Amino acid sequence: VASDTAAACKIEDEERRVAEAQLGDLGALRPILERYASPLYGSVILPRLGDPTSAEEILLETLATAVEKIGSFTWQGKSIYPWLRQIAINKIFDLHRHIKRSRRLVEALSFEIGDEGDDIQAADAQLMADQERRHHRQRIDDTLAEIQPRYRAAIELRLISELSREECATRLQVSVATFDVLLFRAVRSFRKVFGARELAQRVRGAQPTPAPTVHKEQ
Amino acid sequence: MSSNPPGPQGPTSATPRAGTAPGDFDILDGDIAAPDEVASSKELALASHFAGLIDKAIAGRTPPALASDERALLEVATTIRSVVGRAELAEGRRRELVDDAFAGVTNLRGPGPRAISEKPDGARRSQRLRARSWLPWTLTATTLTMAAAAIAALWMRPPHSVVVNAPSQIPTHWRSRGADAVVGEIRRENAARAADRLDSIYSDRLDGYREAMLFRGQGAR
Repeated sequence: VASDTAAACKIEDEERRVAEAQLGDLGALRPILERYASPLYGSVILPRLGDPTSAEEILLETLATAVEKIGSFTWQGKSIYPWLRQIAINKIFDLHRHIKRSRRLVEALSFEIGDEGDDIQAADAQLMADQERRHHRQRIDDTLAEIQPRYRAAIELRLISELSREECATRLQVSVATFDVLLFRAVRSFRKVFGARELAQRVRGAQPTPAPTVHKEQ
Repeated sequence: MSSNPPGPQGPTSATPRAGTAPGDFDILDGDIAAPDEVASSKELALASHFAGLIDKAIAGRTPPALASDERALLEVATTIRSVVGRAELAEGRRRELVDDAFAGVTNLRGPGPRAISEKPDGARRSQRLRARSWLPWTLTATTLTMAAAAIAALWMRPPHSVVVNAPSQIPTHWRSRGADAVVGEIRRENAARAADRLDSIYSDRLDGYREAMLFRGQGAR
């Protein structure tokens, strides 16, 4: 109940600030954007790009577009977060389409857009970001479960637990040079398995429709 | 699993894909060796380099310039890290980006009675980011303008004046001319003596050639 009340207060605060911004006081948006910059970056943009520099640029463009187009936003009793998220996803999609990169993992993540957001728009923005992150995490875990246990261990120790190379090597009882090779093969293997899984899902029609479902921001 | 460092004598575990030179290690689409398989020297070097890239990515210093294959692989690692919450946006950076977003829009609209306070550094960065998208168009427009100016200059310039030596300055026997003066009238009884006539013409021409080549600058004979 307490969290529901807090969420309601946040929504009311957002509504008031959005209204002020639409009347010309753009500074009223600042606390909202500061609140949602991190979930946008960590749950929406970076997982779909894999490159921190590009992710920061997309985040900046997303926030700038939001400030610029706040006048066209229609309040629907929900958080502004889904609107921001959709702007970000459109920009990510534009970037992917522009670069035409053939990288299965990021492409697969970038295609996963929009649809799941409709069911959770009424929820708190943080819950939405958490849910999205859990969804990504599930796919990562499913892929990890399919690769060699030694490779899985290398990824978990180095990339998830962020232990040093030396510590990882000690835990796996190998030299640092051998651990480097293990991690190198592990990431290559992960990419391959992830790409194959996504392809199989799309063939089965289980994947949300990619490009045509993207709706441009207002 | 061997704990020894992989040696150079091991098999190359990746097969080259189309467009990859024979003997090259195909990072993205090549075969992946089993965990305990000995690495080749090439794979060992790539793995060591990739480990360094991971170190930098974790430290937040991803190199801006990378080979496309390496970048693709590093993006996989970054995606995994971001999904498990290991690649968050630093609070200071987050504030900077929000400031930049406001500064960019404020600059576009110009200062107004209820405009947001400007942040000079952020404004500059934002302007730079926005200007980046205009850069190719600006370069293209400049190049086209310069090309058009060059074409116009070529079109409008006065025609080349080609200096030709006046024929009168060259002695007649240096110039191409008819052989009538040398051969003269060919009588019927001399009709078969073509070789003699050719010798005369040849001698005349050789005489002019020699003078032109050997005594040039000393005036005509």
